[in-house]
Amino acid sequence: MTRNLFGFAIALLASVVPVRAEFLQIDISIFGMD
Amino acid sequence: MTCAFAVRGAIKKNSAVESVDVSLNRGLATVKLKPGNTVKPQDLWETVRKNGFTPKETSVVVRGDVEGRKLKVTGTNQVFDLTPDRKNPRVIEEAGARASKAVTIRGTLTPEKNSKAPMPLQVRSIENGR
Repeated sequence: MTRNLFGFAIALLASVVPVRAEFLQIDISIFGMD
Repeated sequence: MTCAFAVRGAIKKNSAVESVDVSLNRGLATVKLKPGNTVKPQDLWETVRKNGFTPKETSVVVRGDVEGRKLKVTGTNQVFDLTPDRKNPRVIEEAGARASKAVTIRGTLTPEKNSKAPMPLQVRSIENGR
């Protein structure tokens, strides 16, 4: 019972906490000198 | 070769950068970013310009929240207009059908100077999940 409640609390928390959103990788094509 | 080192060093100064590799032969700067960063592609494009090069098509991997055809990057509050890649014109609809707001997108950005409108992000693939 306690374990179920704990699992429910974790799932609820995961659904409420905002997703961290960010760039993971950026590959820039670069061309010659200006 | 010296120029490549200059670009690499300038990008590496950004504390959010985990690793950077610059190849002038391939004409490519590959930048991996640390978790929790607030980097904008424009910041890196500006660094490239300051070192005498012109940034062009930029391939990105970005995690964010999708609402309709817009992607919001919460770390920076930047919003991008999602447009499908020519090779995969239904990529956005198909991802929408799987119904998850939090996604990881692989796509392409094109540097534009002085544009205040949301920047178009040409989407190659969308993966659900955090």
